[in-house]
Amino acid sequence: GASGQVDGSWELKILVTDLQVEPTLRVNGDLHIGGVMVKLVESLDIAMDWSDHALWWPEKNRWLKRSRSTLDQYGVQADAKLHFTPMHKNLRVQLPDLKIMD
Amino acid sequence: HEGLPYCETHYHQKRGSLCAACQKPITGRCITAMSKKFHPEHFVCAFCLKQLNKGTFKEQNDRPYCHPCFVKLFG
Repeated sequence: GASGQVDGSWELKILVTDLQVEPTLRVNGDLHIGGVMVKLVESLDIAMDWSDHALWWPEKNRWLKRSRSTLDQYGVQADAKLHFTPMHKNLRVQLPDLKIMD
Repeated sequence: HEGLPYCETHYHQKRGSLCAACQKPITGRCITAMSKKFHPEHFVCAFCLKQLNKGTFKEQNDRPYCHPCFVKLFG
């Protein structure tokens, strides 16, 4: 199948939450996180401010924030479902006076 | 250009003054970076699209990045 490449590369799917698309990237385990984001943005080819976006790993409940760390170092394999999503999101807060603010 | 008539686009193409981003002639201010020419407003960070100044950008794989995005992507 597609995973049986001799160069050791494999396919990683990343959900881009803003666009609701899930492109497939061909990667190697020694690709670093910053490189994954660059590759992803290049594959999307959409002029957009991505500066607040980062890779989120829902299953592990963690951001992949160390740009120099590799997929191998984070333990990301082909079955991982990663999201590329804004780090700042809207939050609804109920204050002590019971007022609700967005 | 060199004694021959050209339309505006091909005149700038011959002179090497087409913007590498939008492919249109550069008639006003011009930024030369990474061996290419750009309209100042089209020389932007490849990740956040913020306008860059010559000399303050970082280059990686032939793409320009602002300092914060460069740190975020390449540590």
